Amino acid sequence: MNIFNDIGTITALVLTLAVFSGFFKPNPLYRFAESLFIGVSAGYFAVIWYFSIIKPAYNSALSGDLLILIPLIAGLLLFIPSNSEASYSKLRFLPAAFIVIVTTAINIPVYFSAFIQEMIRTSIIPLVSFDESGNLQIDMTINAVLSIVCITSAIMFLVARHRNNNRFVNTTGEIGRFFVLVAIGSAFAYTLLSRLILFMGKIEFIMNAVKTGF
Amino acid sequence: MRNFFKNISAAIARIPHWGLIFPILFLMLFHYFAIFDRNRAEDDSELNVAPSENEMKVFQIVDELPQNSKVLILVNYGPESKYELESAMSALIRVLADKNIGIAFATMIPNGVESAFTAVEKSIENGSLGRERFVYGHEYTHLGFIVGGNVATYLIANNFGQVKERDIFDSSTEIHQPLMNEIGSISDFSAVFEFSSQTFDGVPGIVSFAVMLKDKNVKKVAFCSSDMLSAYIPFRGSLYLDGLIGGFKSIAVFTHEFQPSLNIEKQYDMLSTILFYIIGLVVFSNLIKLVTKDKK
Repeated sequence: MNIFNDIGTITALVLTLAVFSGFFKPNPLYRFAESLFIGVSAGYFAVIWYFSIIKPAYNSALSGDLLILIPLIAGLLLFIPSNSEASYSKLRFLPAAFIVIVTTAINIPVYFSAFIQEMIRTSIIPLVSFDESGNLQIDMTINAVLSIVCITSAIMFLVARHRNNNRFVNTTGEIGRFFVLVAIGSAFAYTLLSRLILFMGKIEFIMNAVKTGF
Repeated sequence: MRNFFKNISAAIARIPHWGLIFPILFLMLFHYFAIFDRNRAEDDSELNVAPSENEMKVFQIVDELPQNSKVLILVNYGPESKYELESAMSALIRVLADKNIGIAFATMIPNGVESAFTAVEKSIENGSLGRERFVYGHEYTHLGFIVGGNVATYLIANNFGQVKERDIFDSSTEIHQPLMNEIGSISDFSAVFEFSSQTFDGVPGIVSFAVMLKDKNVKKVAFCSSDMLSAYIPFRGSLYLDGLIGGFKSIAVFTHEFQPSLNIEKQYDMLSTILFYIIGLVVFSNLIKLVTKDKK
């Protein structure tokens, strides 16, 4: 028997029940758990950021690596108030611009390769699939053709919003609208599924805690 | 007849929304007491789902990992997806430990720091590792939280030597960790696995990593939670992803294959029943609307 484990389990159990009590209506216990969660999260993140960024940077500076001062100063520049009248206040744009440029430079190749080049390739190729013995794989072929229909019609749906006088574009766009709704619906269903698993896990945790006498 | 359905509809309308949670709760408890204990007693629980072609591909990748090699596991999930992904990660750790494969954990989200340790603990507690000790620094290590999203993936892919200098406890990996001594770059790993419950600027972490990776021989496998499936599925079969275990069904199949002692099939049974209840509820409420011609 470990007293710290037991205290941890009981605390987790009480807080879980407190959060579940919010299903019915907000109550003091629920609000307490909510505030505690926000506070603990903030504390946890502060500690993680300190040990992941600030402490290693500090250690580097102490060991003579003064290059670390550049990001430190750049970070401090971001704190210059935006309504400041002083001429040096525009210095805050320098680190902001650097962040935008670096993020863009890294993200553009990723977006282009992953979302345009590779996604089109995997949707279309192979259009007609054969198994190892050379027989036609009907399901895979239908899947590939359907992918092309979905992608084309979904693009047409977006085009139809601007060129709504073309009958072909409108009809294809309506099919695309259906596929877009299916995509949104399935994303919602998957999110629900994920939350249900979380809920199930918490119920199992409560039952195990009760069953084993904490 | 229509009045009868209208009365039912009115009765249902009087139930508050939170009241719908009680049947779900009932189904969970019913499964917990009835099916779970029965499965434990019989000890021959089966998952009535056959692995798909994609899942078989991941099985093959895991089976083909060479003995005594090293793998990198990116732990990009926190407590919100613990119940979904932890069992699969625990199963993977067990397989890797059986083959004496060294594991380096790293995370790109602050929430993921603890997840690796809890998965290792789960493997040890479950007694499935087949050994008494799983030594930090020799058999596994944790490189901690690598800040920057896609910038972090760039660092991992192209400048791993800098990433691996210090571990999560701020100890030098060169001095204290024999495991990391043989690792100079990302190419020294035989595979990279990502356990994910979020994307970085809309891009799955493993995809961003694969785009930036110059060595295309490193196997890349992703395990994602159900809510991330729509972000990961488009990359299934692409050059950037050698294998994908996505969603609870695939995770249950993987876990059942590699660590049956976790009894994931009971959770799968429970979830299936609850989903049937929800589908039934939706169909039933729409049927009533259809019969009563209620458009609300």
